[in-house]
Amino acid sequence: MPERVIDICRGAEEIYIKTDRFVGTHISFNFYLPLNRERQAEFALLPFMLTSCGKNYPDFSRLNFTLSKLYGANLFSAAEKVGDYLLLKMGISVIDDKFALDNESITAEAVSLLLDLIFNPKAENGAFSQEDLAREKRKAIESIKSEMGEKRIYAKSRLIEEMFDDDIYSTPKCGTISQVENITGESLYKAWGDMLSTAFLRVNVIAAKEPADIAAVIKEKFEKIDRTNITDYSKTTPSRRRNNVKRVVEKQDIAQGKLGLGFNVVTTRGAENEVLTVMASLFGGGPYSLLFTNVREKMSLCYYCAASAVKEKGFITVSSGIEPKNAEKAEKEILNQLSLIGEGKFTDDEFGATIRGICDTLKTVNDSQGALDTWYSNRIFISPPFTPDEIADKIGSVKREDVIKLARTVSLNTVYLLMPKGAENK
Amino acid sequence: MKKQIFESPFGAEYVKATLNNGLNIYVMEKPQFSSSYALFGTKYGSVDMNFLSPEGERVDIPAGTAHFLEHKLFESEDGDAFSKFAETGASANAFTSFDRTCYLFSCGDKFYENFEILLNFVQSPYFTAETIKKEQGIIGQEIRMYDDSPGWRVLFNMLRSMYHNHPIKNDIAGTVESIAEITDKTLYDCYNTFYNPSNMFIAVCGNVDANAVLDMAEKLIKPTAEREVTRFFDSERESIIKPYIEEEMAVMLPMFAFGFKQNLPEKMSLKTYIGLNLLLETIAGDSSPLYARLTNDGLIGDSFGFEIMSGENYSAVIFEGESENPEKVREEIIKEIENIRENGVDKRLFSAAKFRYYGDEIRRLDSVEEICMQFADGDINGYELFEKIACIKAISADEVYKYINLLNEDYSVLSVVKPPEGK
Repeated sequence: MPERVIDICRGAEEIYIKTDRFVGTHISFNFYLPLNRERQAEFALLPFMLTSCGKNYPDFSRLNFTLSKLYGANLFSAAEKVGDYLLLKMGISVIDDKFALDNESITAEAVSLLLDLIFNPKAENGAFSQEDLAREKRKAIESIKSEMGEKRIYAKSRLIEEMFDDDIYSTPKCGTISQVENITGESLYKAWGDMLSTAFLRVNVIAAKEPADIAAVIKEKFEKIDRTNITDYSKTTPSRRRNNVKRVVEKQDIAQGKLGLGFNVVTTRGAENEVLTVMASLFGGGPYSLLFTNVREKMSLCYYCAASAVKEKGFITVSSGIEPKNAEKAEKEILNQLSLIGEGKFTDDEFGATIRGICDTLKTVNDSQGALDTWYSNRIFISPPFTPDEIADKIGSVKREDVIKLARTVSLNTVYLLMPKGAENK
Repeated sequence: MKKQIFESPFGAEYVKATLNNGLNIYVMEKPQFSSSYALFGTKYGSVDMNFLSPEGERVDIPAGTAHFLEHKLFESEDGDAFSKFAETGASANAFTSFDRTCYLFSCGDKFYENFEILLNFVQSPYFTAETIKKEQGIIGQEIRMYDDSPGWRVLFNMLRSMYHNHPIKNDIAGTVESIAEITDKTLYDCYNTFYNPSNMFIAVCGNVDANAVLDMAEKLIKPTAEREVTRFFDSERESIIKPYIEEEMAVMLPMFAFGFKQNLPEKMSLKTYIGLNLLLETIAGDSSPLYARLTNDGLIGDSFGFEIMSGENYSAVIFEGESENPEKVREEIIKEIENIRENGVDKRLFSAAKFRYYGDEIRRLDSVEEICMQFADGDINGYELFEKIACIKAISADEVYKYINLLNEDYSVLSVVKPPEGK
């Protein structure tokens, strides 16, 4: 699917994906800032605060009412880590005018609503209101707590925290509960100003027709802001190896255990490393993978066991759910499967299935506005970013030898074990 | 084969075909898409535990059998279906819910090869004592995973406190004890009863040719005599068992499910479903006064929502989310329901809710998966895809108001999962 990169102004670009396969327009504003241990919570709260109300939409009920009248336009917000950067996403997805029951122009209204929320927050005297702040802080704290209740997510984030204990990458994406508690109306307002003046901005537009004015409005807004210190987003440091494997065991009132393994990968190929994609997928990416077919299906050591790679940071994690008594066996077998890849002991069928599986999934990215948006907002390190089809071509040309060679550079960094109280560690 | 084409005012259309053995096939072509999706399902879910076998004998099966059968069907005599899909690169999956079991795949390439794999493996049961024993271990672990899921526990605790006899109170995967009773005979009884094409449906959407899909299905679906399935349900009392249940788990924030049981004389109609949804949107949607009150008082967050769960002899409306004070949330919801009962539905909110619902239905057309899921739901519940949009457009606030009678406090249950005392 063709993409067009439009240079809006310094530190701001638009990616326009022209397509007629969807019923509406999808636009997202993606602001990138360096991860920041001290101010992470403030920045991460911004997308949620800005999309909950605005100067012209003073309370969330009225804002939600307006969205309903726009045929349920979907206003979305997120804070995510992309390499050593924090991505703040705010966007809207709306159906085309031709579906409107009374010939209203829904798209233009939705786009101006989004722009208005981002650039005209509801603030007075350099501070967000106490009432709005208290609400959004409470929701942020609840969502941190809620993730801690989901053990699968919790175990994975604890593994990353332990593995990157001396790296900025361990910063929790939404900060800590106490950091959220300490946000003030003033500090959040300052964070908003800093986001506009220092963040790199990428606007993703996925639509049949490019909505007018977006680039012009951004240009006009940014001209009034001092944007001399814009985030350089090319500086993600690769994960560092450890001399001795770090081991962490934690206990909770749960029935099953979770085992997480973090590995370093030595690679110089950076953010679009298709060999790493293939290797991680062959290792534990799907039902054709070695972890699924052997550790889960044949040996029944885990009820789930999956590997994923973070390419820009050069590491792989394996997450698995285990019976506590199987912890040691499962760990050994996971490591064994990895060394088998390094020894080239995987079949052509397994390798072929991996390549086909990845390429097939890449094709489905083109059929979802949400997936396309995520694709382009996660690919900040290369401009213009590769399309899913281009990456599929590159995946198709990866060789067995490339994968074997890369697997030999993989080293275990951290083992994190979450166990039921009363269960033996090993 | 009988064929019918359904058109919508906004361009989309699909074909529905019925084979001679009663199997319904729905196909929507989306030539501009890169990928395709197909689903092969049966009207057989976790609640279908008592029925007549094709031989006319009454069969009573243990809880979790439908889900167990779903797992086992992936295995055939000549290897498992997952490895066949691995050869094509498709992503295959399956799921079992209260009233259905569906097998599906999504692919970017080689649709017809994948479709053939799907049709063949679902029609080739292969169960042996040995493979069943192994599966009991795997599913046993899956059941324990649900035991650690607060969202799952809070829902089933609610259903168990709401229903005296109806099998909806059972976990979809059953228990370690119940699945231990499953034998190869149990699975064949269920398969032969519920996997008859007349009790099944196929849904396809994406970059496909409808005629080619139908030809292939006609060729590969085994000819069988059409047969009606007879299910038995013990009579269910109108009342609930108890209005409150709680459990302690390793969560940091209490989670709740607050449900209203409905005692409908028959399966919920599409119109009732849509009307009730719109009513719920005016009661608790995110522009309602109740939602504003609960949010401003710090009682709910983004996880708050509502849903309707309905099928054969069961129906419940559930408000769910996380809250420091679920009992207060319950009190406020009841208050708002009584307010609407007395003063009627707010016309302004109702109109906005209709716009939103209409927009959501249009947006679904962007997802090949959603379309297939809707075809499946329509086949099970007896409606056509575009009827939904027409029904949303036509319904009035007065019609919606009468569904307030489906929300009766006497038949409500609050289920809470909370952090351990003193933590």
